[in-house]
Amino acid sequence: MLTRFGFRFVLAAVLTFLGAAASVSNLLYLVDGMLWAVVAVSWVMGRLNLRGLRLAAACPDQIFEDSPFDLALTLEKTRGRTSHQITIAGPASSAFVQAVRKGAAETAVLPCLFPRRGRNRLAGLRLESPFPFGLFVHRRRVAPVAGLAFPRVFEIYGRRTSPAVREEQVSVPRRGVGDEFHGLREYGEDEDSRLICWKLTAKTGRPIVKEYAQQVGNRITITVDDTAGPSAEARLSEAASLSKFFIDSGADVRLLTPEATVDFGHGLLHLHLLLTTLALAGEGSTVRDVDPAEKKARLPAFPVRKKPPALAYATAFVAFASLVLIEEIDPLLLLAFAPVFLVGWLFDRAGRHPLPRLLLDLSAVAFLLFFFFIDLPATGALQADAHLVLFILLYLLLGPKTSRVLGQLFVAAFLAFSLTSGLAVSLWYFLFFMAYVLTAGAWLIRRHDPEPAPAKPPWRRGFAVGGAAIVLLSALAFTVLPRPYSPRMQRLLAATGLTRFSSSLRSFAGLTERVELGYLGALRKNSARVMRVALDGVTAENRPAFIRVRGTAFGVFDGKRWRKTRPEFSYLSGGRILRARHAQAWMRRERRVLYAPHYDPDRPVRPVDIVLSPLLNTDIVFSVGDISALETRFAGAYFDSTDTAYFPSIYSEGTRYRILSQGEGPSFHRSIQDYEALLREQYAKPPVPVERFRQMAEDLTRGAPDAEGKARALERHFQTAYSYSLGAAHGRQSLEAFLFESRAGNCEYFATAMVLLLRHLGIPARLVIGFLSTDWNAYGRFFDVRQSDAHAWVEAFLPERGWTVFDPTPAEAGLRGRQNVFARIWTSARKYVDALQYRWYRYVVGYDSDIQRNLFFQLRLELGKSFRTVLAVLVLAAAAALLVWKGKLGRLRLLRRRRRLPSSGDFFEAILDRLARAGFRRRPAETAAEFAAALVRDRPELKPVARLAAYHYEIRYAGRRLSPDEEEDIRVLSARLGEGLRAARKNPPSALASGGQPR
Amino acid sequence: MENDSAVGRLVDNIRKVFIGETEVIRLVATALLARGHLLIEDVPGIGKTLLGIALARSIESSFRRIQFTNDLLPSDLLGMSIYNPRDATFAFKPGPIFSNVILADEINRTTPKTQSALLEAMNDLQVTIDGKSYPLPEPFMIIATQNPIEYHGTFPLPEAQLDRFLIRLRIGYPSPESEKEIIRGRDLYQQAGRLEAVVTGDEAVDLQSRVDGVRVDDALLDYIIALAAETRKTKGIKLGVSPRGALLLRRAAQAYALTFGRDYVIPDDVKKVAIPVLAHRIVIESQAYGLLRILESDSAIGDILNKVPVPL
Repeated sequence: MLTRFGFRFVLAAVLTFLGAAASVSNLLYLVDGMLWAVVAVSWVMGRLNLRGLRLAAACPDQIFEDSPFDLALTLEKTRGRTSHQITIAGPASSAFVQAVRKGAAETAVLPCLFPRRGRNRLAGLRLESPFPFGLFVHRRRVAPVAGLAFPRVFEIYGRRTSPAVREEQVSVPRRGVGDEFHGLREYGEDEDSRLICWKLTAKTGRPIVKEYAQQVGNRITITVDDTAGPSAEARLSEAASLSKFFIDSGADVRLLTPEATVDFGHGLLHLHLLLTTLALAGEGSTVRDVDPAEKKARLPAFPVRKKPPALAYATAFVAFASLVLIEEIDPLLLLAFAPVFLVGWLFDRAGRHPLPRLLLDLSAVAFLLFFFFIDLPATGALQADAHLVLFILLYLLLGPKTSRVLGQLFVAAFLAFSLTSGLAVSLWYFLFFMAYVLTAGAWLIRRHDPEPAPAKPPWRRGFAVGGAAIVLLSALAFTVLPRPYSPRMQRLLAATGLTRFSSSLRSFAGLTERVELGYLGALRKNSARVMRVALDGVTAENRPAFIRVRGTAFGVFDGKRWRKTRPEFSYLSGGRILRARHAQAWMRRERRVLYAPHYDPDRPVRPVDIVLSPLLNTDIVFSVGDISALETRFAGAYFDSTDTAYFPSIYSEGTRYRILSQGEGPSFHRSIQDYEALLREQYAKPPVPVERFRQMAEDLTRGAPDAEGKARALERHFQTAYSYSLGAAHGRQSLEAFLFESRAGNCEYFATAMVLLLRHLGIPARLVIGFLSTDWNAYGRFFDVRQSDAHAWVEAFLPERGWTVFDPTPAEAGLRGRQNVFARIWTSARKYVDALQYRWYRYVVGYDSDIQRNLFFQLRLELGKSFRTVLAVLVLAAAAALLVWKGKLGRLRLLRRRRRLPSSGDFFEAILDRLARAGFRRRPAETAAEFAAALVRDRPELKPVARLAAYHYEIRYAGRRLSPDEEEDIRVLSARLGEGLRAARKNPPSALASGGQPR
Repeated sequence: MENDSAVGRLVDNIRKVFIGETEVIRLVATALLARGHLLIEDVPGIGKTLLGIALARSIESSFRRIQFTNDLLPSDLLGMSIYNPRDATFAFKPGPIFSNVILADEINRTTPKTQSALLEAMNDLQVTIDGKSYPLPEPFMIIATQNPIEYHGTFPLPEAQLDRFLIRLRIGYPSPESEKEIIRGRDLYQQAGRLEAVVTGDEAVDLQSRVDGVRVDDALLDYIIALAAETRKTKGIKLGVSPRGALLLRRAAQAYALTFGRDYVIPDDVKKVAIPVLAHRIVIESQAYGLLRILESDSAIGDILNKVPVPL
């Protein structure tokens, strides 16, 4: 049946399902699948665990009323695999068997007590086991054990008269030998000469025999009149005690009770008969069940042990470490947190927790206030939740590990891991998943092992099988678990409040087909990282002050929204004219590179590496500068009439690609035929001509010589006469209000206004949305691009230069104030760690065949010169590593130790140390010789131990000094023992023979 | 066995006829060397008499077997003054107790009066009859036997008297191989009766005097004291081992070590003799009687041996 822990576990599985459905996170589905799989496997394995078990119980011969006795139990396993963690539960006590192998039997002792005289029955005997994970406790009834309890026997010192006893001394006046003098007579023939009384013979002159009466012996009759009344028990007890007393003194005893009569007899067997009769008298002959104890102590879910709970720490650490997979969480924070584990472990080892409870509780209150009022609103749900989980871990790890704390630690670890599952997308997640299943599963099993727990627990193999089953079932459940995507389900889930999780994260699906004025304002509030851009050949000295990352462009404006256009066009491809369908034109693939039609093999290229954050939900190819060629793992890419490039599918995991740029602005148009017509149609006309705008445009550009001059004039005007504002009101105003009234707004307004004004002048212009980043990471030599860098600007088509970038938005003033020293150090450190993460992404997560080939190619170039020596060095290094791995260097260690050996006499302690480290531990009550004998019996390869123990005895107890030959012998034996140990390490001691010693 | 000292020869000699655990023979030799007496509590038919005969024959000494019955008088045991009509004097005719090795078979069958006569003689090492004291010979050892099942049981030795015996032994049934050899071979009793002596009486006395000289390390004395203290502390033991018991344990360990030809005691010696020496010196809480009580006493000491840390 389900334990309390099991119930909570199932509850967690249900909640996780809801969470997974709400946040539409596949990995959470996987975790949920794992939970259900654990439930299923737990139930099945638990049932199999109790299969084929047979319990035989034997009562001892003599059981006395209300006197504890040991019930000898034999647990036999006839079918199936090994059973683990079996508890044999009696009414008031229980016995524990760690493991029973098939075909083997384990013995155990159950302390029992029969409270009443007579026939008793232990009815409630059960086999129980929480194996494997403690979610279910499977129980099986066992046949009841019956026994007979004798009445209480107390010591009788000296004779005592009692109404129950009638003693008779019968003496028959016959010839014989005894104590009682009978008479004198003459010595007859053939009589025993010992009978002659010499004193009297001397006096009388004739042989005289003293005759003694032959005693038949004491005959005792014990009577019990009443076996049912109120004082019956006392009387029966008295009768039993008297029986024992008289039997011990050698008398013949007869027992009379209303129900039975036991005739005269003597000896212990007769005593047994008497006691049995007394036991069965009166009420004793009815079978009575032994009542179970009033209140059986409920075993805590996570029992506390003396040693620090290693598996608890392991599980918590794996869950904590998995947080690193979440992009948004600062790895520096995690790094700073890691020592908490070590500190907690040291506290546990020492057994003292110096932090006062009050301090921890106050800090908890403080943190909760911080969480609700500062953290949550400021950094958002994700970061705040992560901080909360970390704080919970800190609170639990630094305090004493009571049973409740351990349970809470389990929950906290699960929360942390769920957080990761909900938010991480890296492939490395699966490593953590396996590690988490391993540590958490082992912890759940281990907590039911007794203390001291066996070093190599016997359930290892069962756990491996179970773990594999769990992983497979998790995968199955993952595919089968319903994904509720219908609107009604979504509404339901939204009610749980969990959907907020998903929406606040995946918000950068921003570059869609439509962009509404004011949209970017909301986007800019988020500081999540979007991508990292590395420009080849750029160093700290010659780096640009900022980069402009082009995302997508729009051509059609309806007064409120920008839309893309989808005209048909034809483009040139190597001389052939192709008509593009759906306004797309594909880049041509040649080996590993995609080439745009306008790629010029003679012009130099400027490579740009872009590494995208995993949480982007788009298919746009971002670029810095023109896309002439593209190195990517995608099979292809295409561009549309707005010169925006796309991948064939949306990428949601992290990806990286390399752009080979040959110009500043987009140049796809060069490969489009009849581009002039397209220009005139799409970009040169305002959507609805507005007289005010046209007038304004002409006023502002009076005197400008050409299109470029006009564009520059407009740009300058906006940059100086207008101001930038992210205010809410300014995000919802109309364009007219922006242009003529407020003169303040965000970048979309500026860009849109300029595009419209340019179009009113007949100059082709369009809106471009992308990112503008100034965040240069000196360690990694890349630009950090965040969501808050989202920006809009203008591209205008100038006759000679083509599409040219204009940015009318005024620079934000006073953005980055002067930083003080600490802030600067902090920023530096963060950038350093960011750089590490970038490298991780680029070279590990984004590791692909390109990098691989590159790496090896470069390596070979370097090595080409001194290849052979390098190879030799490598081979030697590998060999050395292999030796260390196999432990052959251990022999060197033993060599060193041997030299300072044995006449000091403590060589045997060193030997014992070595054996202990290999898992062969001497028990404190075992002598050296006993330990050696048991060891050799179990492991013949460790034979030298016996002789070494003998030498030790001679030094220690005989006080002898060894001769040099003997010392040499000891060295030889130690070496042979070392070899034997290495051979023994191949098959380590099984834990069934606790600690390596067969009992 | 291992050494060809006097004890080794003795043990080997006995082994010719007593087919079973060598440990039993060694404990018998231990009792002899420690000048103690031996009580064998075991079922009939496993070679108790054989052991006694073989031991006596091997040390060139006189051996008497006394079968105790319930009509045995103390004078039958100790001897009595007999009137010689010719000389008109009383002459003391010594009883069978005046031997080196005495097998007091089924001592539980005789009256307490006779039992106490025997026990007092064991204590005083002399017999006083009609005012005159006659010393018992040296070496002097009593091997008493009791049958714990006691089909015809009468007067089992009270627990208080058991501590006169240095060692209480259980021989137990032989292993199947040994039993096969026993029933295959010829009459072992006759063979025992024909055994040659391998140790002279003087040598035996000499060995006895060497027991005190066997080296006992201080750590082992601490261990013995720890064992005794544990018996006094354990819940299941009503009366623990007295200091005299601890002293006897030490002597027995020394004698045991000597049976191997060693002149120093090792921890295993103490552990090996602990149960035979201590089990009958404690009174356990249990109400069990008979063989079960013996087994429980043995296991009580056994548990203590498994608990108390032993010096390395």
